[in-house]
Amino acid sequence: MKGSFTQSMAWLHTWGGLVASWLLFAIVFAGTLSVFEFEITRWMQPETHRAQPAASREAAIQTAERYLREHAPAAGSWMIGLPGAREALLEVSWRDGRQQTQHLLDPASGVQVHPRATEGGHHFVHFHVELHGGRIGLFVVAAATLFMLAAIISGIVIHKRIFKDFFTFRPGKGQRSWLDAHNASGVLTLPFLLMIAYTGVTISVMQLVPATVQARYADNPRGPRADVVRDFSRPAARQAAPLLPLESFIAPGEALLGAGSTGGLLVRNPGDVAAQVEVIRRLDDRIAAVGDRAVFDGVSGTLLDQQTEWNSAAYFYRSLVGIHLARFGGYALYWLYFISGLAGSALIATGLLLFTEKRLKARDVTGEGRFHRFVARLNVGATAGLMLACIAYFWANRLIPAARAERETLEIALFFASWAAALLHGLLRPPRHAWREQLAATAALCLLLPLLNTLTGGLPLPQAIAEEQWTIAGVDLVALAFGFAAVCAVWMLSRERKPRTLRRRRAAAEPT
Amino acid sequence: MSAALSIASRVAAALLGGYALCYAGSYALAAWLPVSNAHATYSVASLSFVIYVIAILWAFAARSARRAWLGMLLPALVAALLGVAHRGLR
Repeated sequence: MKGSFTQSMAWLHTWGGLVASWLLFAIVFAGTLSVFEFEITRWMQPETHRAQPAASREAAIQTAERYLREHAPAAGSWMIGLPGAREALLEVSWRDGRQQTQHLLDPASGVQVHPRATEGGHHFVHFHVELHGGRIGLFVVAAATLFMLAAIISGIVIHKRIFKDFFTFRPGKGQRSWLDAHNASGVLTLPFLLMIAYTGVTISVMQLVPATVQARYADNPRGPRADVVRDFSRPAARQAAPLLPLESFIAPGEALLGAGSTGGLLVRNPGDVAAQVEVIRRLDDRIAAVGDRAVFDGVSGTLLDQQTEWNSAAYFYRSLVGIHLARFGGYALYWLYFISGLAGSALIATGLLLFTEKRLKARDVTGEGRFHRFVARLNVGATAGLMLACIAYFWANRLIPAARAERETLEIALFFASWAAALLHGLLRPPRHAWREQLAATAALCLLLPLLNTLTGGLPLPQAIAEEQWTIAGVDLVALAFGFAAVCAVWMLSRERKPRTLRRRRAAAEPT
Repeated sequence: MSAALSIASRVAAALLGGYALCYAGSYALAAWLPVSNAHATYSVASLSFVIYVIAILWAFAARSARRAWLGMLLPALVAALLGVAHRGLR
């Protein structure tokens, strides 16, 4: 590789980008859907759509306590997760020795809800972290992400007119338009993509590069966490004593943690003289993903200990984690992440199209046509096909019977099967047709999703809107928006050729 | 060296050499920083991948594949020696 620094960076941007992009589109697009992990899970469990909120937080805690006293009086610990803006159900769980049991309750009635087994929205999280491929998948995703970071930085180097190019768009000009779209979405999402890629790999840094742990904690992977998260637990005394009502711990807990900040309660040794009640602060109102806690004696109610201060380096690290997870900032911020993620997906997709547009035009000169045609065909399944597989996953969720054994694994298997079918279809059909057909299939599945939701026991869209149940209505509405966008894309693809041939004919007819 | 071989060599330098440098560099930094265990581990872990990304850029910016490898492995070796030295002192 001879030539200047800029040239070598251009080479890295093109080839590193190409090889990593097929994977990166899937990672970024699935990661974008992960922003609404909880909403998607709620949608995918229609059994929970008609749950009613509790009259008050105190009432929800009383309901949970009653349920736990009845179902798990002898458990070693109880855990209560309170409903929030995104979680409609009251979550209770308990631990007997090593066995952990979790039940979901309707907050108003306290009746157990039995949602279907599904990985729900977490499938997209799991897929974008490790492609459902365990440790190997984690390393593959990390390598692709690091190449993306290098591609972005080299993209900045080869690009000297960032500001000007942002305001340049020349539509309907083939390769030139793709380059403009690639540059505009690149400049727009640059800070976001740098941030999301870096924080994304850093979440798993201690598994990927455990050197920092080995240097200080003799290779004990739990060492760093144990060093900064204080352990308040104490053993049971094996002597019965009445536990104070759990809602009475909220006021003293929030005096330390902030009003209205309780996310859940952890009760150790319930019914024992050594009972403890830990009030756990919610995570969704600040960037750093750390859980402040205050722990009280369950029998006397006196404050035993608390953790509201954190090791500064650990707090910084958990802030990087929190910036990636995007649990803070409410719906305005979730939408900002979602739209930035979509723009990032568009950046990758236009980059892939640009690669082939540029080279297929020159194919007669270089004689590398076969490879570039293969790339052009793979692009279809890697981008349109992945989106098709994502919406197919929603359909699998509703069409596989709710009681079927191992249905959650089957849902994910159908996601991968749809993707594989789309990749194959893209390789077999001429790209022009393959794009149109896969986008049309995606459009149909998206536009019909609200109907499927209604027919398979979900809260119908008009009713969800009327009741302002936006966590459920939102999934249907976003699917409709994607469907319309796909219809527009199909329409544009099917009329693209005509005006150009017309123009050429007119140009030929004009006297020079 | 043919162009294809040079490219393959650079990609290997970026991925494998970069990992070695990132690993050894993180170890040496975390070991020698004169701060508490938690401070050392969390602050260096927060910055580990900066080393990796710089290494990838270097692998393609270097004038030849040989220089790419040298620029990767020499600092990695130095860092590894520093890490081993710290282990010996402990």
